Amino acid sequence: MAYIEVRNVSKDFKRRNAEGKDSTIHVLDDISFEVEKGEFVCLLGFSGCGKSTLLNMLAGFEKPTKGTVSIDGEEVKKPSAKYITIFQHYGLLPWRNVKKNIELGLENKNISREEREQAAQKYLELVGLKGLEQQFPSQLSGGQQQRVAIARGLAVNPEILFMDEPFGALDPITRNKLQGDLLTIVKEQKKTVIFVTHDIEEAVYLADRVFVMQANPGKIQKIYEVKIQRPRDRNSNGFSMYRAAVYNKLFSIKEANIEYMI
Amino acid sequence: MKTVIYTIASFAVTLALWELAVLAGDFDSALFPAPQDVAKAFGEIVANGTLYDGIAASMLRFVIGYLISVVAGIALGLLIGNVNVLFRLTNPVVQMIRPIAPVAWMPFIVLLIGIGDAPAIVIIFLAGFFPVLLTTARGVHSVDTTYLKVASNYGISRLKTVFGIILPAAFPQIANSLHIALGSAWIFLVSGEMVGTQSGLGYMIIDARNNLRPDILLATMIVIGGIGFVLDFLIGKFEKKVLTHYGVY
Repeated sequence: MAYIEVRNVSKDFKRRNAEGKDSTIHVLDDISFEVEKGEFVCLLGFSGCGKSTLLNMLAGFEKPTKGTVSIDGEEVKKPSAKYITIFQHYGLLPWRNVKKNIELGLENKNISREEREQAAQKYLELVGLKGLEQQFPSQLSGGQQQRVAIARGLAVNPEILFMDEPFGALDPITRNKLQGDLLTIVKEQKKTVIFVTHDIEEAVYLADRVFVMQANPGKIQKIYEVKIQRPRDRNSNGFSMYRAAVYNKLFSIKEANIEYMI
Repeated sequence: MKTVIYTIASFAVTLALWELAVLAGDFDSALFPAPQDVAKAFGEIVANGTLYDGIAASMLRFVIGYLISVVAGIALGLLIGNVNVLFRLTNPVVQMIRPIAPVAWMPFIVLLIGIGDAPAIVIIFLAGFFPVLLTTARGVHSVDTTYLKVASNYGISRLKTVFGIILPAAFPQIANSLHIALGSAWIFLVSGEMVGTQSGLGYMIIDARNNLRPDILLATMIVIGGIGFVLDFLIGKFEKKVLTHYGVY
């Protein structure tokens, strides 16, 4: 039995259209896949392909209309601190300083204040923000804020990180740096990562496997196993080959859809 | 520095126009006092202690009424904001009661509980309560869903989520409603005191009218404006501090 199992998952949303009639949008269609413990998987697709919806169901924020999601043999019914989601806009509490933000998930655990502070300090240093304990989120750059969110997630020692376009709002240089640091951290801490992105290079750089998704309705079109040694060189031939292959797949999907719609 | 100059100029021009109106107008000087007469009357009510007593009585009612409205408004706003059934159940009635001017409640309240401090306090409460209630509920509704996801992800209890995440997240909006509520509560304090009380700044205005002392009347009006200005300034500072703390500025 695989660690994460997604079985025949479909998701419909009810929307009210312009004429005021309820209509059903078929967002995800009969998706099945498995992920092994310690894997780094990227869900790659255009906006509207349902990749974030899929992630939300894995994380327990939403329920599938059909099918089941199970992790470690248990069906996912609600969110759990065993699986932490990292959001694109960080979700830091602006009224708490960096240290207090990292301690958030530890506050309802039965541990002493000293232990909590030690844990916060440890993960703050792990993400490279030592010295910024007392700063407030608004005083930090976007990259630093996402580092705080990652530290907050790691502090509760989750088994899985669900990441919803976490670097999508960052400039390219910061994004590259964070991608490298994220890989180092999750490999060292042996986390399983499901990472949603629409950036092909990001997916090829990070993932053990890239799931290329198509839209209307959302499906997994193809799974690429990226067999490039780490640390990966973005300018190597192997890297370019994967990037080209994923690119062609992604855009031929789009062209096919356009033809279909005409 | 420029602000100071403009402020002084603003008052100077107003005083000059006032003086001009008195000189040029064909009013009885007993009915339309000049600025210096009002200044003299101000000295009089300061010296004989009536101004101090009036301010003390008004401020007491104001503080009580405003605090009750703030506490009740935030508490009930959090409740109806978080429990959708309660919100949908109360909102129609609240929307209908809200446009009724607090002063319109006065005769009813006086008949019900008699004259004294209570009617004025009720008026201040009514003036402050609805803006705080509705803004708090709206603030709860507009809390970034990411925060709620974070709370459920980390297994934070419902109660802790309400007070530890939703309330602080909505607080910048609530602080703004406290600002608005303070202004309208102060405005309605005076109307409340003009009916059914025997003390306070509102009563001083009625009393001055009855004694045909428009100089005292205008002096009292200026004091009311001055206090309102200071209160607004203070809560504006508070609001700005809140917003800075929450990283809005």
